[in-house]
Amino acid sequence: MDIQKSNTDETFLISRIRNGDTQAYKILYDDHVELLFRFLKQFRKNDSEVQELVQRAFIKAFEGLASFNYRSKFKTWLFQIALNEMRSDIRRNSIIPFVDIDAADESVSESNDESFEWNSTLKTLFDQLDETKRAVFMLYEVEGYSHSEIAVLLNIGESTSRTILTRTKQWLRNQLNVTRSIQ
Amino acid sequence: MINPKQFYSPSDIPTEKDKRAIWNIVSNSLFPKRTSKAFSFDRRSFVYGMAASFIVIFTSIGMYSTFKMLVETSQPQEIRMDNAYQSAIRGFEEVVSSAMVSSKPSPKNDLASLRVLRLQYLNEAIEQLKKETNSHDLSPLKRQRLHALYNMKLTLLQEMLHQGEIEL
Repeated sequence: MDIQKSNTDETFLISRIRNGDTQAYKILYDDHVELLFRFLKQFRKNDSEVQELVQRAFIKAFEGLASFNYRSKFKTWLFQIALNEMRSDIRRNSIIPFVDIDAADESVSESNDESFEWNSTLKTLFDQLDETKRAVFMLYEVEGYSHSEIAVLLNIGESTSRTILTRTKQWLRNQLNVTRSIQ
Repeated sequence: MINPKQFYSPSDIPTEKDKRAIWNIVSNSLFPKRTSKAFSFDRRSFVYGMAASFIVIFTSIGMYSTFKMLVETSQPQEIRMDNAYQSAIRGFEEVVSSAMVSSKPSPKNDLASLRVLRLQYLNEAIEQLKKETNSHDLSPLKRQRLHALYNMKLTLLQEMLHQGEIEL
């Protein structure tokens, strides 16, 4: 019910913005700025870099609002713009995976049922992951996106998204075990 | 799924100051405000525009007057004389118009009636000739005839004035 209400509010806000109500964009900004900032903060440790990415994402989102088709939530669309901006910053046409994703073994058993007990050690290990793994992990495990949505967001295949997530979790678990055994 | 509140640390969350700073840049980029400098520029443009309009209007009036004067002075002698006669008669008629309307033939004064009648004939003849002779027609005979009629009308009006048939 809340999600439905939120979508209705968002649709109403976007239609107001399209009709020239700039105050409505401020409301949309207030609703999303924190979500985007904290997400991007996982890729850029420098606050000013994150701020700049957030600014660019909001500016581009507003400029392209006429083409927004309501198929996804505004948040998803905004995240996609921000990820594209980040990608263009590092001058890559597509995200370069740290593993050969094309040759990824899609039969890797998924361990989605195994939930993570998030702690500071895992956070430290998480920071060692490359951007693709970080993005897939966060989008799925923290932001709650499906693999099909992540595929669109990161411009990768849905099965690739699954493979990356599985391997990332395996890696995190292994590293966690190693850390614990050392301690 | 991991609870976002557990995953993100407080240092990942932007402060109110950060949010305001980001919004200021976003809004300035998307909705630039009209600064006082812009207003002053607009005001100056308006004043310059008005001044330019006045200059154009006065120049146009000046040019029109000069052109009209040039056209008038370049008219042939005959036409200028026509204009002079017409102007003199028009001026005269304006002064005595009310008197002329009241001047009707009376059986008591045959001469006065005759003069009024002559005046009517003269007016009709002048009107007829003016219709036939437009301003570009320089036929000397027609011009001469028109000048004679003007002359006669002026003389007649003068005579009527002397006889007291026109009261001022």
